[in-house]
Amino acid sequence: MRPVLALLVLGWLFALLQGAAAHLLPSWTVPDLVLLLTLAVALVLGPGAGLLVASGVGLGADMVSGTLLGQLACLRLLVLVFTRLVAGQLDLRRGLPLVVFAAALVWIDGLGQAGLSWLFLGAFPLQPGELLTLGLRTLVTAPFAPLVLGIARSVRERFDESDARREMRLDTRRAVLR
Amino acid sequence: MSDFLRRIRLPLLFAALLLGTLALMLGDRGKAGDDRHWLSRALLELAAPVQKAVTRPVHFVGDTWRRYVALVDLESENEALRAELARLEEENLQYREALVTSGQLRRIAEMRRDFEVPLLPAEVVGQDASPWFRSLLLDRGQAADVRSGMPVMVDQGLVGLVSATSLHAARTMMILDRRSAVDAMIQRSRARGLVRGLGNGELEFEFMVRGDDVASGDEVITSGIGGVYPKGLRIGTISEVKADRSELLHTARVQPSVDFGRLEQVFVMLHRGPTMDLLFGGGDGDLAEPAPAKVADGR
Repeated sequence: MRPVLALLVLGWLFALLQGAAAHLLPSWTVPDLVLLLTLAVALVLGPGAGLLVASGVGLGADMVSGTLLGQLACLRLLVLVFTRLVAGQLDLRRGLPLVVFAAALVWIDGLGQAGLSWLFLGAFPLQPGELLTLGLRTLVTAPFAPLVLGIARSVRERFDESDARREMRLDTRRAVLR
Repeated sequence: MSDFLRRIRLPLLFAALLLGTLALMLGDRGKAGDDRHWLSRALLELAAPVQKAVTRPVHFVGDTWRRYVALVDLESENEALRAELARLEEENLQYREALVTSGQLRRIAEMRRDFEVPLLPAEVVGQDASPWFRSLLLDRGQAADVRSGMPVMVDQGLVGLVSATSLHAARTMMILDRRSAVDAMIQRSRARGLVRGLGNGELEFEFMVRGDDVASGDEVITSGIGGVYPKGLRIGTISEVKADRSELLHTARVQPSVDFGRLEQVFVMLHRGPTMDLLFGGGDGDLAEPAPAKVADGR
């Protein structure tokens, strides 16, 4: 449970950092860390815990965005399931496949946001310039995927480790092997 | 039976969470402004102080850069601004003279009184990181009498409209957002039209072709029609007119007068237009009326 809570807090922190950074920089220069964390969660946590973290992190992103409440949470859930499906076929733990998949995911997520907005808010015409922006955002976001995966993995291990350490404590006064 | 339940546990959890998010979206879509979902208000309330704490250090670094490092062209810019100020003062004098002679000064004074309502300063604590939406998070909310539907501005011009509030936070939809449409007019020719956000940081002015005179360099201001924004707030300058005589509706690019990338403090006009009052309900009836002119000391 503790890795779930830790990753949830990390996701919310990422959402707030993104909001603060987007306030100073053009939004396309800000990597979508929340999306990358969802990807990482799909790879480092089990499916049930992953679903909980993805929806919680998505709600956190919703609160600092002008989207409909639940829109990013819904997309993060779909991203998680999609990533787990792809991870069953491809080894996403290695750098290059991970970056390429993250790039594809930025596009899928961006178009998914537009699609849901079209569905729930009505007409949502995309300008060519916006697709270019999405492309730039992809270039900025995807290279961070290995880093975010590393952070997520170390967070999980750190919070798992404390449990394991208690259980694995050895009494060194006795011979371990006979 | 328990084995079956264990097997469908994950699909059930996924379906429940997915349906939950869809229900949240449907609920949030149906409600406007202050009546939004309680969870939405709670999250907004939670976001503002935390976002503020995160934004402050980022601001500090940005300010340090702007104030001490990026001042290379300050002197030449200062000279140019002084020259521009002198020219504008002269121009202003001439306009005043012309207005007095044509008897319009009284009407302009009335117009000023119309939107001289209390302006509440609010700090921008966050901005939308989504590629499709343009919104700001402000650190003032219902506790400071901020309500959905109130215009937000800075000294350079119009910023947008408060779209959601909690007790101590408010979200503002910028006029750059693709969902934004402002009834506007050209200051010089009085040609009317709609200023729409394109979602990519640009604005577009749509106007009917009836010999309307719209040219590059024209100032675009709010028309006051539509009951959302008061008349006379600056929106931007026409940068390019797309003249296609075969079409009834013409469009022109508008360069926003507000530098949306550098918003730190904005002013919420504590006045809600009649249309917004109808849209967001009459619960705050006292706010629908033009507030007493507390700040009109200068008149």
